[in-house]
Amino acid sequence: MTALLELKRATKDFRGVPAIKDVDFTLEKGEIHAIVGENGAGKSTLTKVLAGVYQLSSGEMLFDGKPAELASPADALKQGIAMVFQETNLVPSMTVAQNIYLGDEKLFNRLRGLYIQAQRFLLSLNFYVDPMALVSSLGAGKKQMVEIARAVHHKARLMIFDEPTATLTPEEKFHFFNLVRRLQRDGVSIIFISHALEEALELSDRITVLRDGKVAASDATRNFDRDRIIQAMVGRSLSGELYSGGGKDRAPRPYGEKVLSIQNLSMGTVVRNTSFSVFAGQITGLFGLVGSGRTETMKIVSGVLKRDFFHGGTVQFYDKPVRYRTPRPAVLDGIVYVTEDRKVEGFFETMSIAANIQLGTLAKGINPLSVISLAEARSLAKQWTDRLAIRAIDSNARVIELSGGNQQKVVIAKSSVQKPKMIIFDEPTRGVDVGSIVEIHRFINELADTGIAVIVISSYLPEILALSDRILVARQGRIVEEMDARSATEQRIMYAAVH
Amino acid sequence: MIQLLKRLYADFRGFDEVGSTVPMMDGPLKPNTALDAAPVVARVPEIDNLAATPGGLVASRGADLLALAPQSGGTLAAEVRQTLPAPIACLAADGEGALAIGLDGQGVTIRGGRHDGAAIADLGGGQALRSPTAALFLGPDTLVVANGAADAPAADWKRDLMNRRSSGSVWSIALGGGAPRATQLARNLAFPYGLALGRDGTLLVSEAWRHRVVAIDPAAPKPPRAVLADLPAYPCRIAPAEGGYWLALFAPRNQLVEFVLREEGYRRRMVSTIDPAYWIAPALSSGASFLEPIQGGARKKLNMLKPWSPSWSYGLVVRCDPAMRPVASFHSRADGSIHGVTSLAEAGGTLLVGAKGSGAVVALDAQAASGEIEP
Repeated sequence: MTALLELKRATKDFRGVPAIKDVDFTLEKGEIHAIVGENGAGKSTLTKVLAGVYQLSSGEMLFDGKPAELASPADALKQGIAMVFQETNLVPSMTVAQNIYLGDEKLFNRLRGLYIQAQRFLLSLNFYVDPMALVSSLGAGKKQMVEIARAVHHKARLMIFDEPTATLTPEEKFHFFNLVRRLQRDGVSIIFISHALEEALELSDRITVLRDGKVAASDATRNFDRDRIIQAMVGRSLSGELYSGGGKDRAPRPYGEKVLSIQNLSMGTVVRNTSFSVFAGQITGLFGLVGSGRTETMKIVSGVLKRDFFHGGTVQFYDKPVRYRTPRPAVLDGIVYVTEDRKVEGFFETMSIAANIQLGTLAKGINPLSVISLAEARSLAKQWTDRLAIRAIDSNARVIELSGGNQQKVVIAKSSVQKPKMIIFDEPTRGVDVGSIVEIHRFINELADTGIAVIVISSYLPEILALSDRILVARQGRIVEEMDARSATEQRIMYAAVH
Repeated sequence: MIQLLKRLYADFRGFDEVGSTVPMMDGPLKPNTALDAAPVVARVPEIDNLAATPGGLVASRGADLLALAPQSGGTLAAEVRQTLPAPIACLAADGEGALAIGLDGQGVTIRGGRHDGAAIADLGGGQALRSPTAALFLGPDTLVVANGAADAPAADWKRDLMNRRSSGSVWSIALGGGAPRATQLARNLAFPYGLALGRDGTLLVSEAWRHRVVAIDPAAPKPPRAVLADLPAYPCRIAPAEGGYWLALFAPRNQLVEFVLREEGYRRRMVSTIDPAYWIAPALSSGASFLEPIQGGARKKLNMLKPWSPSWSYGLVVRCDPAMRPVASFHSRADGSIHGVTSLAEAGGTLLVGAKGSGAVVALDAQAASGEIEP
């Protein structure tokens, strides 16, 4: 194989702080190359350099043996480099088909023809997405599929996937892997970032581990195992702390007071007549495949979405029937929802860490006069950056400058300052590195130990098994199975979620 | 205003806006088959009112007071000790030889102990103790009695529910110093059916038709305070346990019953024209007659009733912590055979569960049962 892309002593810094430093990286033609590393290790920066989002501060980049200067992602796409971002870059007000063919339109377009073409194309990729659906109406998983389809459509020679499988169901993941292998057979080179190390080990030919912006290890995949990757990522072995034995190693926490009682909750065809309860002092894991209505159910509970006006069922928080029309009264009552889509719903990206965390207290109404004390904001930020180990230059750093895991910690801090009685974590560790996963899990456990009712929605079964005292499985808009942590297995949960 | 408009529109369209929902059996109430799996130690039709006394275990069957003597093989043999003039509605032992016997429609009589022969029928102020559903000795001279309904015997509980009455009350009866004197502790209760002493000196009362357990302060009567609410079945007897309580629930709540309870015209006609055995109402046992409504919701396949079928009867015992929060439960589901649990008694580390509907007593290991139950 010959090198398609080469980076020599590549450095990219932000305000003098290097995100990647002296990185040497080679990608062969037709190679699948996995890049792994903790959040903040520089993976996203490296791939964004390759995709033309950032330009190198120093060093050299060669594409096809020639020096490449990519001024923008469009420039990169022209040269045959396409990137599927972790947070999707689709136009929400356009349909799926329009997004796939965006920038590739003819002078006169027949929409019907476009939809038929898109339908065929999506089916050829085994992606079951309605080409006529507005992107804004799609869940995170389906948006990701559209992103991938768009990259495939552009027939790139190098495709970069940032966390491509985080939002996909196991079946969709299987199809995605097949797709990647098909692209490889066609001579396309693939770079993919993944926190699911098993995927990197299964799919890639070569793995590069980044730590603190530098290459910690780079070798053929056959020379790696899970432990070696983790050790290279964090400099210590974390496998004992991560998902070891699931919830079976410890006794489940006992049932506390019934905090939430949902009866016959309905919202259109997404949430259909579902009923369940949640108890204080426990972690209730909520598992379901994409489209099972688990996120929507919790958004109704926390006032982000509204249930059906008629026949919408009842929601009781403690003994009080509630129907929130906005999140604020829910927050005032003590219900907090930590979103799965942090970039859109979780924070104000151009504001500082301190300002974002302070915003949480404003929603709670702790400060009735809404007088913002900057000193208080800084002290609050200091307290939470220490508690959650948020890694940033200082609390004035803008959230957009942080890595995915640190952004997630800011969102968690912003919600936790609201002193919740019940907190809902929706995919708390999606796009988060292994080091941060341990910290976030520890924090979630601490919350449950203090008597708070905790709900964790996750698509990752080892996470559900490791955290939950009690597991609920959602399918087609309703809870179909309840298991205790000791008797639950991945097979049982998946069986309930699919059949 | 929006709520009013919504209700008016719902009335006009004729759909159920108030909601006939019934709480889920999940969490600590997650269904299992623990009652069906437990050994049956006695088969006595209509067995009720299990009570542990210093002289052994007693129970009732209609007007018969039964002694349950241990046999070889861990079973219990029932022997009629006494036949009373009316069906026995409740039993309570003071632990020192006295037994309070509630006679349905007639009041309470004391047998044994220093108040032997005392009878309480008149509660004063023109009120009679017609429905003694539960009794509890608070001391040698104080008996607390729950009067399930002011104007109907306890056996007619189904009519009380379907007429949506809440005429129950709880009384403290002073037995010492001459004729017994009754003091009302709570009134307007919806069929109080179980009594226990709370950890803080309060009285715990199960209020069947409101699906809850309330706490009453016997020293300073105040409105009852709910300590366990929103139950998915109708609660009855409460038995003290080490570090908590046992709670028996005698029949399941059902969406159809909840709906009928709000349909005034239909309900009145049903009550006045149909045999109570075939009402749309909870029952202690079901499935015996083809005339019964719903018939398990047609969930019978190859002559096997699905456990999740809607049924009028069910078997349910709940283990609660000292704060009366459920921590574990024992079930006999729609296809089970231990239905209509109305009494519980803990004796010698064993919890005896009296299923009146099925005419059986099953034994649970109280110590093991206090832990978590595998489904």
